[in-house]
Amino acid sequence: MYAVRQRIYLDTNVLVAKVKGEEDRVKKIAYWENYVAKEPKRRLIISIFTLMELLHVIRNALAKTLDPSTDLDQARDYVIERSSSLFNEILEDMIRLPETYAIVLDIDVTISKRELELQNKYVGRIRRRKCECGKSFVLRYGGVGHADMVHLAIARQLACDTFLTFDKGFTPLKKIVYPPEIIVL
Amino acid sequence: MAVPKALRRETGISLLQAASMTGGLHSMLLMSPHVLKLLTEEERIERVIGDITEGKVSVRALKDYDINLVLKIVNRLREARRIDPDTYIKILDYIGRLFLARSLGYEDVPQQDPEAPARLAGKLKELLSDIDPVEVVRDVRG
Repeated sequence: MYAVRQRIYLDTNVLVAKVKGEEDRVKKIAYWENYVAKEPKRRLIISIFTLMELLHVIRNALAKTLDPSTDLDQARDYVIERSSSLFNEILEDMIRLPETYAIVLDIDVTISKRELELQNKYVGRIRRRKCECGKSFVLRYGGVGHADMVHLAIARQLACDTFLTFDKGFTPLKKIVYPPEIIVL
Repeated sequence: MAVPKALRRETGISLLQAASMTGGLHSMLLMSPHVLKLLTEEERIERVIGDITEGKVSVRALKDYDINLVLKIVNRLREARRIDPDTYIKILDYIGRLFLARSLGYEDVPQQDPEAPARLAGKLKELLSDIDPVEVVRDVRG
């Protein structure tokens, strides 16, 4: 028998996948949208931390579109202006989202020693990634970090029973973090 | 005789103390317009939240109150387990949307639109075309 899920927290990569419109991932998100729509009290929760990270992602992506020789002040002005415009376009839709979504900006959240213990205990992996120049490789550490812990703490504070993410880095936490139950899509 | 709000503020006495001075809460409640005037904003917000919990009024009834005060009260009520998680989320959601709506120039939260989730999908398709959502968020998180 499956557990009934009431409050489902969305990790930032879920929202980014949606606004990017990746077909496979959008389908997976649609499954959860349909799931919450079946019962009036079920909600998909977008937190302020998710919105802040989305804005950062937009600015990051905009900067990468510019020619590296662009004047830095001009680049900054462009990124600020364009990101603000894109972010506002997203917010225009977000404030109109049906009640199946909840947008929670103000949260009294406590970050406790539990978060440090988790991060300390669950070491991630070292990966070889292509350097941004595309010519050589660099080693990068990837694992559960402080921001992941903040998302989990917010989800717990909001009494979320489920945490949805596309990030496989959360997998080691599945057995020891509950609630919320982590689902890697 | 009712104790004016200004006097209660100045002397720091609560509604209940004022009630006992004026012959009990029951006699005050009989004068409902006076009671409403006597309630502090905090007490009025708490009453509205109670009505939202019972489904008597829409969450939009909070629109005209000080957002920060609403948040303070709703968090206090949640901590004391005096409101359920669903009502708590419902109120936080409305306040969140209200803040965003006002930052976009609206007075109140626009009506919900069932097409909004579909419109959101692919909104940044061009900008994020070469970007993996998991990797980009990992980068942002450092």
